Amino acid sequence: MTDTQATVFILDDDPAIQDSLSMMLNSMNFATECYSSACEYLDSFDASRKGCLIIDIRLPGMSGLECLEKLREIGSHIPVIVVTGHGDQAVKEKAVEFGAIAFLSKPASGSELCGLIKQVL
Amino acid sequence: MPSFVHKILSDKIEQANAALPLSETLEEIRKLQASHAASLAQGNLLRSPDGKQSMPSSNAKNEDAAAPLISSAVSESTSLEELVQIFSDPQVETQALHDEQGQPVGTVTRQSLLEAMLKEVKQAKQPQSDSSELLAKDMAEDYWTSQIYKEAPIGLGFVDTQLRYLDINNWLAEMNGLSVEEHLGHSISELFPEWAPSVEPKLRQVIETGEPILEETGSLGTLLQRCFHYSYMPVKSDDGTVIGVSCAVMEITEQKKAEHTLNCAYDELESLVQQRTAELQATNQKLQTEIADHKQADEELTAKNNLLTSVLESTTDAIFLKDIEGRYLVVNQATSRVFGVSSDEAIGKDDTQLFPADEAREIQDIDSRVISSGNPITIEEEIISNDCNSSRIFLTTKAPYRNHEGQILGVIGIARDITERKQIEEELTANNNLLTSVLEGTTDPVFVKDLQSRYLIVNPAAAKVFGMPAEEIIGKNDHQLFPAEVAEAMVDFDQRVIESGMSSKVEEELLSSEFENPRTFLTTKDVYLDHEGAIAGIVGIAHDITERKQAEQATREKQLQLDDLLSNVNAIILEGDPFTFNYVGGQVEKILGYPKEMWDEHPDGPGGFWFELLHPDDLDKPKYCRQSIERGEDHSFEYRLIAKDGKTVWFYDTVMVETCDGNPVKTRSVMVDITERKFAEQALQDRTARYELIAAGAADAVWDWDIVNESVYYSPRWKELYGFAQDEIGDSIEEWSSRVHPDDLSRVMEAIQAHFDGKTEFFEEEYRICCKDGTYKWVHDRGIALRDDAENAIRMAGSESDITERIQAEKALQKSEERLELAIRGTSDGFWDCNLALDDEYWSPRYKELLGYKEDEITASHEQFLAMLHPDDAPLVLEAARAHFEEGQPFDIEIRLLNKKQEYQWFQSRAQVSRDENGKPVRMVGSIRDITERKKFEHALQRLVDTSSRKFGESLFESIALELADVLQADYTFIGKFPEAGKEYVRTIAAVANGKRVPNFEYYIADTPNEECVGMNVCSIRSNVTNQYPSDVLLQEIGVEGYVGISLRGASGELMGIMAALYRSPIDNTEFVESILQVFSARVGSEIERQQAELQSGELRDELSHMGRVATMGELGTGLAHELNQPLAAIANYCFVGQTVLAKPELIESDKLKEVFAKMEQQTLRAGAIIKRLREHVQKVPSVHAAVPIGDVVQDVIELMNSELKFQEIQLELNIDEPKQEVLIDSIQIQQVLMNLIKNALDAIDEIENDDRRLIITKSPPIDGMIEIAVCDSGMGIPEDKLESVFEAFFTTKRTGMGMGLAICRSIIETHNGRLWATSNPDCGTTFHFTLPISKDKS
Repeated sequence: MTDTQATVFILDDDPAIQDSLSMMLNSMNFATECYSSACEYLDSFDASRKGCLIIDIRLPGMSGLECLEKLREIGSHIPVIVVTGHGDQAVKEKAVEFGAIAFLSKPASGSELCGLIKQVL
Repeated sequence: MPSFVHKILSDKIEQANAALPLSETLEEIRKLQASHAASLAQGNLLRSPDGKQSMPSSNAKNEDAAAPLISSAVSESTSLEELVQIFSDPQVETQALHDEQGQPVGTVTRQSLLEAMLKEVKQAKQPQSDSSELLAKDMAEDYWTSQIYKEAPIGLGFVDTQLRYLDINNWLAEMNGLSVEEHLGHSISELFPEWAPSVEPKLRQVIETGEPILEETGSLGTLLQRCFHYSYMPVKSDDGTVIGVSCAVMEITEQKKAEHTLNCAYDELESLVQQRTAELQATNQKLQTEIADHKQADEELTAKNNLLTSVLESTTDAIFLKDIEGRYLVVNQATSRVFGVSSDEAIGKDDTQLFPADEAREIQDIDSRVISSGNPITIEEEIISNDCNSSRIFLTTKAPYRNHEGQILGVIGIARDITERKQIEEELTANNNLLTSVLEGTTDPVFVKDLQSRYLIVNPAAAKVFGMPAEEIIGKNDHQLFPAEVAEAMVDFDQRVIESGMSSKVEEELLSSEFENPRTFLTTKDVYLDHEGAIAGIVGIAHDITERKQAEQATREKQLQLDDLLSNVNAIILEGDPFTFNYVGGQVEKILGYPKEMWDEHPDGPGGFWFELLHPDDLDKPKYCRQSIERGEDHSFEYRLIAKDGKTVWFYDTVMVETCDGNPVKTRSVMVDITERKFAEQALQDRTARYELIAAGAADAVWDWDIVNESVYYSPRWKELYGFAQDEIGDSIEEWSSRVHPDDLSRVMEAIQAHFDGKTEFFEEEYRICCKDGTYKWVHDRGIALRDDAENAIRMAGSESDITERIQAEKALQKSEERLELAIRGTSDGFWDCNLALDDEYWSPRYKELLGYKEDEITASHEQFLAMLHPDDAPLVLEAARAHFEEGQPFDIEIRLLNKKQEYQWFQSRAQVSRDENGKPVRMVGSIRDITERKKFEHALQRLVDTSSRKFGESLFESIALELADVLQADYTFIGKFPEAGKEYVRTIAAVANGKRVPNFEYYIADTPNEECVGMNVCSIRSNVTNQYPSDVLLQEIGVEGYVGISLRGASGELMGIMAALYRSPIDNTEFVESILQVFSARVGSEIERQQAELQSGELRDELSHMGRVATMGELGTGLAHELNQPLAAIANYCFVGQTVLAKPELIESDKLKEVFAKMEQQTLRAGAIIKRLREHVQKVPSVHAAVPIGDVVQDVIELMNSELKFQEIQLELNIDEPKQEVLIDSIQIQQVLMNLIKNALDAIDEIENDDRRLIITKSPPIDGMIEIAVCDSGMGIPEDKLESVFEAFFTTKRTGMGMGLAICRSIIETHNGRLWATSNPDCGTTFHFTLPISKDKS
């Protein structure tokens, strides 16, 4: 029951990514919610909800890193997994500094991602 | 008291107290006392005051061997006083001792003696206990004891503890003045109350303490004048209790006396010793002081010595010290230099060893005189110094050297080298002699006066002036010697000299009995200083300048004459002697503005003034002048002087040098004002320089003909123009004249001559010049001559420009006009004749025929004419008639008349009015000429010109080919172009057959009439061309009969192609065709050239635009990678889902898998599309223009930029009115333009903080076949003045980028015949607009 209660929040502006990730995670029995921008996600953010966040760095408007910073500011402890195609070392370090627990390069291995999510939840 | 005696005594007293009767005890006590007394007596004996007793030698424990000797000396011969006396002399430390017989027995030191003496004294003062001990041993026998007790000259008594006399001997009793018996049993106080108090306490003390008391001195009873020695000894019992006191009293008066004497002696000795010690100390002190003094003296001496040494060593005077034998003891360096040996070597040697014998003898002679006289001697010695091997003179002072006693020990000498001084002295003497002889010998009067103007010295010459002997003059003053006036002036002058302290010159005119006329003297007076430097008087030297003055006067007069003479010459005269110019004359003031006086008054004379006026740039000129004068050469030179008004005046200066024996003695310079000439020259030079500048800089064919020197400069471009290499053309005028077309030469030469003659302002002609390849070029030549003062042309320069093409065109026109004229003249004009009075008109049959009528078909009348006249031309006719009638203007107009075919036909109408005798017009005769053909030709030309002026490239060629065919009525026309390399074949760029455009073709020109075109420029074959060129298959195929071709050339004359008109029938008028072709060949040629240039730049542009695209892609790289990653990531995810589905058999059949695959395909295609666009964009493909829907182009760009747009949150607005509208473009290039503009817009938006991040792309509907695309951003904007410069290459405001983007964009748009420009938005940001041609096929 606890497993089903947890939600994987997907924050990526590309519909194909949203769709494919959702589909993949659903097939592994994770509930998902998709957001296209950081603002959208932050607006609906509820600290009481269990789950984890999969986030891209390159997002329209507020970037993934800025979003992580915001989350930390409001005292969120939601586990964050960064999945991006823009992962240079500096960005990675920044992400880890802002509290990301994992940093995967796009395209990421599905099993690796699912393993990570399982571990986190 | 010796312990054993005490023991015995105490034992005896105990025994007495215990058992023995008192008497026995007393006996014992007596014995003891006797021994006591004996011991005392023995001690005194040793110290007998008479001094006769010798001191036991065993007791003399003196370590000093002197002690016994002293003792013996003291006892045997010498008194102590004497001994002391001996040592009284502080100098004597050791004294020999002699016995009485005077035999020496030894020596004694002061110290040992003093010690011995002190010991004696001490021993004398102290009782010798050791000796009493020794003596006590001998006192054993009772007898001896009782005898001593009774008879001893010592008072002995014994008292008990109550101080009662128990026993007393005779001596003591006697001393006390009572008998022995009277004492016994009575106490002291009973018996002797007067002195008991002085004794009893002592006795009681002894009893109480048990310790003896010994009293050395004291007096007893009445015997106050006597001295006693008391001794109180306690007598103890065996248990140690004091039972009584034994008293011993010994008169020691004598002893004391001796002691006193001894004490006195001792005191004396003591005081002596003290005195002596004091003396010694004083001496010591003195000695110390002396030592200190010595030391100080020593130090001072050392210092002095050092000083002396350094003085000695540093002085140049030779200083030496010789001992009495003449040996050198001290020599300083200067001396050793004279010797030529070192100081060390010189020391110890005498003069004979150092100098030649003669010199040495002389030196020694003097030395001995010094020694014997004891007085110093100063002499001059001549010595051959080894130092410089020359005889040198020394001033030597020699003095005796003495010791303290004044004894002469040697000779001290100081020698100073006075050789130079001597020489100077000698010279001085010689000078003095010389001076005297000069004074005596000179003819110039010389005198010395004191401050009172009294003559001190006068030389014979002076005396002669005064007319009296020198002796009489000396002592007299000027007043006594000269008339008052003269004397006053002299004294005044002298005073001035004295006050100024400086030498001055004065001219004095003196009259003397010696000469008839007054004579003039130039007297130099100077102050005369005494030896202290104070002015003591005046020294004067007078020089008789009477003759010179006279000569000067004569010169001056002559000069004045010359001045008069020169005042009429426009020149300045300077005269010098030879370097100092001291005379100036001529038009000095007139030319330079400074009066002659100013020249003369200059401190350095006129020459100095001249130099001051010299132009700064000419300061080197005098040097040349001076050198020439030195060589005695006449010379002339030019220079500038600055006149008083500041103007520069040029002079031509001719300097004549008079020489004497080859040496210059006099110079005369004539300075002629040449300013005007110079300025003229300058102007000429300026102009020349300008021409040279033009020649060098301009690309024009410039020539510069130096007429005087008969040489011509031909500029490089000139030579180039006619096809020559730079070195193929010389500098003669023939290089040009020989190439001028013979027909033109005389005309050109005439024009040149006319210009030379001043008839024309310029020389300007058009003529032909033969090029290297033999062809003629028409040139326009324009030149201008430079003239000298006499207006003679000395130089002419100009430039030629190639006008061949213009001339050809003009000629073609002219020729064709003439030919038309001729052609038309061949057909006769129509005549008309109008009788104005009768209103009767006549039209010739030809007139009617021209209008298409037969003779009888039309009636001549003015009404008929007006009916035929074109309404538009009627006003022209009326006006021409009016002008002809009223103003006499020729009647010659072009009009249109309606012919029989009801067509207006062009005619030239000419007429002439005839008048009667009253001048009234009576008749008018005229002609009409058909000018339809000409008008048609004109029209055709106009059409061709119009066509060519608006068209470019292919369309131009096409329209010209079509128009030519039409105008020339040619069956075929074509324009052909040679390929870039080679001229073997031409490829047509426009070809027309039977009035229609046909496909292009190419053919080899060998053995065709085209070949002739290439060689001859023009090829014209009226008919039968196929016969002439049988191998030209094409001509035969299309059945060509006539051919006119012309070569097409570029601006620089290079062959570009051929243009030709071909006819299937013989050509009526080849010249006409030729002319028309020629007119257009230039236009076509330059168009081909332009196209080629464009093509080349087009290739470059393609290259550049490709680079631009690649660069843009690089900039977009990050975004593109992201764009590509998205579908890949999605595909990966879908794959995972697929696998999951496959792992669950229950799902395999569901639609899930289908969905997953569909989505995967979709994403794969998405990725592929991105890559395709990317590849297309960076691909290097030749530019191809094709019809493309504009919407697709825009969409493709948006897709490529998608990531960037999204990431930057750009609000994109597309206003494409008709996306399907097709444009004729190279879509990749237009995409590039759009991408560049969008990229710039994004950058501009990114530059500012603005929430309005807007990008609008608008397409407007077509206007004139062009659509406009506008890219509008809300970015930072571009300043108004930069809106155009952004399109310049390398203009950039960005931190990165080359600034090529917009330059490339503009070039791309322009190849599309469009325009690209930028405007500022009203609110913010910039809009870039560009236009593109729409595809005609669709529109």
